[in-house]
Amino acid sequence: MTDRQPGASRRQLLGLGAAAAALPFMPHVARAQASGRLVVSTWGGDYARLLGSNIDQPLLAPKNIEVTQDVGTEPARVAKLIAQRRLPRGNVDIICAQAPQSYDLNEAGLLEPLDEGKVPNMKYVLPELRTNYALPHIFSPQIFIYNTERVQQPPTAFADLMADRYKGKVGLLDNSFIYIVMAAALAKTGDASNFAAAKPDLEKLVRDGNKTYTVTDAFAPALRSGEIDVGPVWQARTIFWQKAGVSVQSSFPKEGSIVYVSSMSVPKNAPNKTAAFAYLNAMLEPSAQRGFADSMGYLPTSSQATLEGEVAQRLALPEPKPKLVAPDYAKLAAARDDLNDWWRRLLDGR
Amino acid sequence: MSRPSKRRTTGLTAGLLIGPATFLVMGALVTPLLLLARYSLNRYDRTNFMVEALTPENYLRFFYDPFYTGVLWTTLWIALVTTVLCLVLGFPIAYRLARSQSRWKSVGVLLVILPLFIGSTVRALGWMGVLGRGGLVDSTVAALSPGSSFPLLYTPFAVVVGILSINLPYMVLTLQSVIEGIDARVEEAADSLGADPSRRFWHVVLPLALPGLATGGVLVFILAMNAYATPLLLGGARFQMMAPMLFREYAVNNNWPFAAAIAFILMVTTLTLTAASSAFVQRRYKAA
Amino acid sequence: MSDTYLRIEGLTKRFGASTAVQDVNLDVRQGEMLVLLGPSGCGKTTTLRMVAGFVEASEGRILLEGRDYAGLPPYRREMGMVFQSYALFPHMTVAQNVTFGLRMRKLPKAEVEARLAETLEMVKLASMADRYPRQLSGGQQQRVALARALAIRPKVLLLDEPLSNLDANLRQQVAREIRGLQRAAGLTALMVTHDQDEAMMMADRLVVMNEGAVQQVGTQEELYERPANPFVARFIGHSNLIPGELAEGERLMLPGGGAIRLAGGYTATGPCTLAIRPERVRLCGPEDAGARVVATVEDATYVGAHIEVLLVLPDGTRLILHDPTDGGAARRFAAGDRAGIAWDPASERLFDSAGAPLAARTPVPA
Repeated sequence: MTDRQPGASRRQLLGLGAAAAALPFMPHVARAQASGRLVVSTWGGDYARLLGSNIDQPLLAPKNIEVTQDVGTEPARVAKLIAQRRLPRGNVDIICAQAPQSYDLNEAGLLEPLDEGKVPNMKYVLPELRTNYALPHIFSPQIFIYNTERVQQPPTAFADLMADRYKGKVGLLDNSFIYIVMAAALAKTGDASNFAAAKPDLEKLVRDGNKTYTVTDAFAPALRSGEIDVGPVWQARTIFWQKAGVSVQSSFPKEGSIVYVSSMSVPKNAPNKTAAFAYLNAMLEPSAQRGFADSMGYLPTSSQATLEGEVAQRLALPEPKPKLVAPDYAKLAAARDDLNDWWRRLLDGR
Repeated sequence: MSRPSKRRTTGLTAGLLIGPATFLVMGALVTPLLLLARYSLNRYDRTNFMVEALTPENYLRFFYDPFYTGVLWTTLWIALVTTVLCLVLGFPIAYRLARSQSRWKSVGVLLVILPLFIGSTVRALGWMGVLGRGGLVDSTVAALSPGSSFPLLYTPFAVVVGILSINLPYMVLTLQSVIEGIDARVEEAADSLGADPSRRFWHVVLPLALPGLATGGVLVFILAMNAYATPLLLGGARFQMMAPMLFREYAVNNNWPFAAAIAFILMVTTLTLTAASSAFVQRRYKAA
Repeated sequence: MSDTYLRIEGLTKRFGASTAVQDVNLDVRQGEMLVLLGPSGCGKTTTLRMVAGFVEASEGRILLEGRDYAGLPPYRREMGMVFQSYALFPHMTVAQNVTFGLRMRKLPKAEVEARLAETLEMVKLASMADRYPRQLSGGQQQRVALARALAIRPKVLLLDEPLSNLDANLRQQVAREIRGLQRAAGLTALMVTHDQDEAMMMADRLVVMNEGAVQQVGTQEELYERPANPFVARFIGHSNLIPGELAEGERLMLPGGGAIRLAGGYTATGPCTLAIRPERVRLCGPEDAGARVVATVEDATYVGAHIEVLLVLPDGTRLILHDPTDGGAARRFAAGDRAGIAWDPASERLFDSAGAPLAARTPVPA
């Protein structure tokens, strides 16, 4: 409708009082160079709040960029983006998504290519996390979380999870099973994308009566009650649950850690791309990055954002530095449907 | 002479009054359904998400795979069990409430309604605390017989209990209003004519409450068929029901066509059973 | 009484702190129709429901042929009940309604059929056997309700306001029908009503109740001619109630001045109430020797059966008088005229401050 009108008539409309009243519903109408309105499609809760206090207010407000958050679950927000793909102008400038999802969106041709000309701070992004369609915002390595009261001998490799001492006491998160497959593959073959090689290990884990959880929040009570003792989760979780008073600790797998990356990208039909690039640049500023490490326990993705004090200690990686392995999203995307199907049937046991 | 024209004007006015509502219902209900039906015939593509097509493959995939039909059976089974339990447990409560003359009646009704103010997710979390390891049941069992453990979480039982707790208020409220509509004197009449309580129930109360039981049963059955949070949280990853599976196909796998097909299968199954039970009850009611 | 069939002894019902029925004692004879009459909330319905067993008595006994029924559940009492709302089973046909009690008793099929035919014949509904209650008129529904209660051949027939849901022009007819059936079957019946005409028409004897207590038991004539207290005097057939102070045994001093010359002579003194029925009062000339008091005519209305005259006594008390339309005296008076008021000694009732009737010193011939 308005999206299809030529620019001139839209400018005419602007003169009318009616347009002013409609403004909040058309965030793309009023806009100028690296200023104006910007819509960020994001998860709600702490993440959205921290975006506001670390990026929107301190870094973008001075530039006259007014940020509006479009809060929702990732599937709902991605669905909206897909539904709007054919519109010349969408209504989202920045989409926050997990890295595999960003890869899929880019494959579908929905994302604007990024380079250092558009986002200067991109040159500081950790090289192993860098792509030209999505910028990593925060990340967290996969570790073995364990209950310090019941586990004297923490696991140090994926193979340890299959040891008799943990039989039935390993917790697996259903919503990140693909990362567990990758960890198993990495341990077994050195190649995190050799999914087929990892299947027997996962099958053994599931059939040994280890527990699977549909929601992340069910994991901590299970660790506390003794339903489980160990499990592969993100390092950020250990820190989060330590804060909540659960006696848990992380141990790093010696074969290396798969990393979880939360990324941001710009849809091709974003109404305010200039502001969107400015937002991405601000997001990589050390001050913004540190805010997320402090509060959520995620690691910064910019080499400039060094951590200090207690936070640095809590998030410190052990020496020698563990190998951090970013998934091969292309191989992951190709195998995902089959893996999903296999995993469902494995859990179902039918 | 003026009669037909008068009727036409009333018809017209009625049409004008109903018109906007009809359009709203058409727009808000029928259009998405048609869209869903159309999607279910599309083909899934990993990079383009959905490709326009007219193919039955999504439906065939569901019905030819015992994994998916198994999930449908589980869903039906859980929905039927919870519906029957709702009827059996809800009726005495509803009857007591409906026939109560006490000033505590409104307190009772409030107690029934109160859980509806809490979302199903929060209630499921509550049940996790009760049924889970280290929860109320488990620690009671552990206290009574040290060393033993009795975790009920992540079992079909937990799902049944969870859905039951959510659906029971709907059943009780539906039945209560129906029972209140039955003249208490009719029961007294049966009483004075020599019907003892059990025969009074079978010959008088039950037949008169049957339409209400059917309404409540259908309501609760539909809710159970479509339960999402409860099976997800209380059933765990190894327990599959239709709504969580549907959501996973749509949200995690981005497979909209298959998700649409699952949605349609779920809806048609629910509607068919609902219609069948209504027809059955109606016939029984007429015959009685 | 030797022929007492149903005896109610000390029946009391308390709801929390309030007493709905207080120490009711009644004797019902075999084949008699006893009607409980009173204003709403007087306890008559609660009494009936205690007899039926729907309400548990707080105290007292219900003796039927010498056996105490008070502890029995309603379905063991064998009392047929006809409800104000009829309470027919809406999901059953007329035949199914009528045979319900018989089926509950597991009577042989042939017997059930025979009794159905007989009962439907009795209430003239044989052609309606297969209809549902909603397909019947109010009067027909009423007869089904009666048939259903009669079919079980109850020990006592209980009727709770059986006529109040009927059109006024149907009431008399149905009342006679019920009465006829009850008499023909020789049934002992207990009926509750708030309608005096209905009660008068149906009853062998009446029980007037007020505020949970029995005021008087008796035949229509006894209640009308010899009300036991001012309440009964006013409730049955309306009475003018004139309060005053009894002086010298034969004058009633009105509180606002003036006096009434009483017909009887009384031994008592002090405050009391005179009850006198409108149709038992005559108008006469103010100077007439029979005039017991002189009043002012305020208004006179022709209502068909009589002329209703509104009079004001010297102290302002109002009094209603029914003057016959044929040859009455009212036509001779206009509004504002002074008129004398007269009555016979037999029509005069005087009650003391406790409500008990005062006997005239000179016995009044019946």
